[in-house]
Amino acid sequence: MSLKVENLDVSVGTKCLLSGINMECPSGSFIGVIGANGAGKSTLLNVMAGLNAPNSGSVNIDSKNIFEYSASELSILRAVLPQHSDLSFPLNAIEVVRLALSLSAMNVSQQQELLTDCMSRFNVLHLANQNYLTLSGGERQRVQLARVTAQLFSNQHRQKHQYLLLDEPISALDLYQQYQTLDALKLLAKEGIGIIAVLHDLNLASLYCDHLVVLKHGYISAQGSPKQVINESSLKSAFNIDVWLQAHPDTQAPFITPRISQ
Amino acid sequence: MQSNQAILSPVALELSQSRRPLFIVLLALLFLACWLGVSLGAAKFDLVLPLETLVMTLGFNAEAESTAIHNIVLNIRLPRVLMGVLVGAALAVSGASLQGMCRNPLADPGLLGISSGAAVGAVAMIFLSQKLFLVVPSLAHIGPYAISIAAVLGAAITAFAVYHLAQAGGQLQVPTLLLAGVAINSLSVALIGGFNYLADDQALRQITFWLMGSLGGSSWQSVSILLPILGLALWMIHKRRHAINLLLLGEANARCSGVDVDRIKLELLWINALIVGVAVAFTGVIAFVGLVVPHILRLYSDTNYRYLIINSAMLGGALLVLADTASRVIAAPAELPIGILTSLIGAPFFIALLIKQKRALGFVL
Repeated sequence: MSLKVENLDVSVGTKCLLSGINMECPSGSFIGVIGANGAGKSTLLNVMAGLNAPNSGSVNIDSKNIFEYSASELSILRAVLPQHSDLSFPLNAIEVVRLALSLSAMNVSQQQELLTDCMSRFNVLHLANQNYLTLSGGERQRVQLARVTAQLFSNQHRQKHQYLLLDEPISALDLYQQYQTLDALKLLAKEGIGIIAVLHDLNLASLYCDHLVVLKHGYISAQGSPKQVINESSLKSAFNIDVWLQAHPDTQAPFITPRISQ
Repeated sequence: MQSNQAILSPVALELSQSRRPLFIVLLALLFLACWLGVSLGAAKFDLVLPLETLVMTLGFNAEAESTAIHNIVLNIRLPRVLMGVLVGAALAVSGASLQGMCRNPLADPGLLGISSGAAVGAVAMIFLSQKLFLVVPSLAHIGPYAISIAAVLGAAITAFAVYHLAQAGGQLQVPTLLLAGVAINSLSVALIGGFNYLADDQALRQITFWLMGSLGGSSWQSVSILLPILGLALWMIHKRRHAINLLLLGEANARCSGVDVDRIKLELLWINALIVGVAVAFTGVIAFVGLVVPHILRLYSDTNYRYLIINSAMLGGALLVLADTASRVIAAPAELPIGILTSLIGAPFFIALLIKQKRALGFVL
C-alpha cells in the first residue's frame, strides 16, 4: 500500500515544471522532498494532492488514480498542508482544528478527545482558546499541522493507509519546535501514516527522513536514503553549494556544514 | 497529572460552550421587532393590538367595537412584518454566505452588484411588460412572477460575471472583485436610467418604487410566494454551512478537506442570485443589511457558520422589521423609503465598525 507517482510530467504553456517523476511513499515512511527554490517541489506536492492535474503520468493511492476518488473519499486518504494557510475571519485555534471534523459524524466527546490528541502532538493545546489571527507564524503553522492530522483521524472507519502531504511544515518554527514537530511527524509515521514533506533544512531532512527525493529543474536528480543522497557531488549539483560532510554524533546520519567561498 | 487536567480544560470548555444565550437573545429581538411592527403604524399605535387581533381572529371576541384597525393589522401590517422578516433574513444570509465564499468581509449583494443586476432585470421586465400587457392583456396576472424571474436572471448574470472577472489562478482577487462590483453597479445605473428615459408615466412610477426599496407592496399573496422560495434557499445555504466553514481556510485547503469547491461555489452563486433576485423583485434594493448583520454578529460571537447563518437570519429579519417600522412611524402618515433608512443607518454603522476593527489591530484613526 503506497502513494505512488509514475512518469509524471507537468508543464504550463511551454515551460516544463516537472518531467519524468517517479517516486513512491509506502505507508509508514517519512519522505523528504528537497531542492533549490523553483525546482518544482510545491508543484509536485500540489499534483500529488490532486489540486493540479498532470499533463501525463499518474498519482495513485493504493493502486487507484487519485482522480478516480471523490473529494470526500480523498480527504479520508490524505491531508495536505499548503505553504500558506490564511484565514480571513477570526476563529479560535481550536475551531480552526475542528474545521477538519466538519464533514465527519463525531459526537462532542469523541471530538474533544481527538482535538486534544492532535493539538497536544504539536504543542498548541494551550493556544486552544486564542484567536488564530493573533497567533505568531510558527504557532499558526503548528495549529494547521494539528488540523491536517485531525482530518486523517476524523474518519471513524479509519483507513489503514493514509498520507500527509506537507509543504514546508517547519519553515516558521524555532529550533526547539522544529525538533518537536519532526518528532511528532515521525511518531505519526510510526503509527502507519505515510508522510511526504518539502523541507529546506537538509540536516533535519537527513536526521528524520527515511528517504529523500532531490528535485532539480523539475526532474529528480537523486533519490534514496539520506546516506545515499547527501554527499558533496549531489549537493553541488542540486544546490550549487560546497559542503563539509560529517556524521551526526548521535545517529551517524550525514550532517553537512556549508563551506564559505571567498 | 494535575497540569494535564488544567491544559485539557480549554478544549472541554470551548466545545461545551453553549451558543444558546445568543440564539435566545436574537429570537427575543426578532419577536420584539415583530410585535412592535404589528403594533405601530400610521393608523393607530397600540401595543396590545397584536393580542386583540389574535383574539378576534380566533373568534373569541366577536363584539369588538372596531374591526377596521384589526383588518389593517391582519391584512396590511402582519404580511408586511412577515415580508420584512423574510427579506431581512434572506439578505443577511446572502451577505454572510457571500462573505464566506469570497473570504472577504466586504462581500455583500449590494457591493458586488448583484442587487443592482436584479434591479435591472426587474426594471427591464416592468418596462417590457407594460408594452406586452397592452397587446396581450390576459397575461397581466403573471406580472409579479415575470418580474421575479427577470430579477433572478439579472442577479445571476451579474453574480457570475463579477465572480468570474475576479477569479484568477484558482483564487478570488479581492480588488478585482470590488472593482467589478463598482463597474457592474454603474452599468446598472446607466441601464436603469435608459429604461427610465424610455418608460411612460405609469411604468416610471413603478420603476421609481423599486429603486428606493419598500415593503409597502406586501400582501399575503407576496408572503405566500416568498415564504417557500426564501425558506428553501435559506435551508439550502444552512445545509452548506460546513463547506462554507472549510472555504474560510482557502479554496485549496477546502478541496483537500473533501469539499467539492467548484460545485459548492456554483450552487452558492445560484442560491444567492435566487435570494437577491426574488427579494429585489418584491421590495426593491435594500442596501447594507447583507453587509452589516454578519459583522454585528462577529462582534459577539465568532465566524463559525454552524451558527452564523441561523443567527444572521434572525438578526437580519429583526433589523429590517425595526427599520421598516421606523420608516412608517418617523414621518407618519407618509413613509420613508426603507432603502434610504437602511443606508442612512447602515453606512455610519459600518464606518464605526471599520474604525473599531482598526483600533483592535492597534492603529489609531
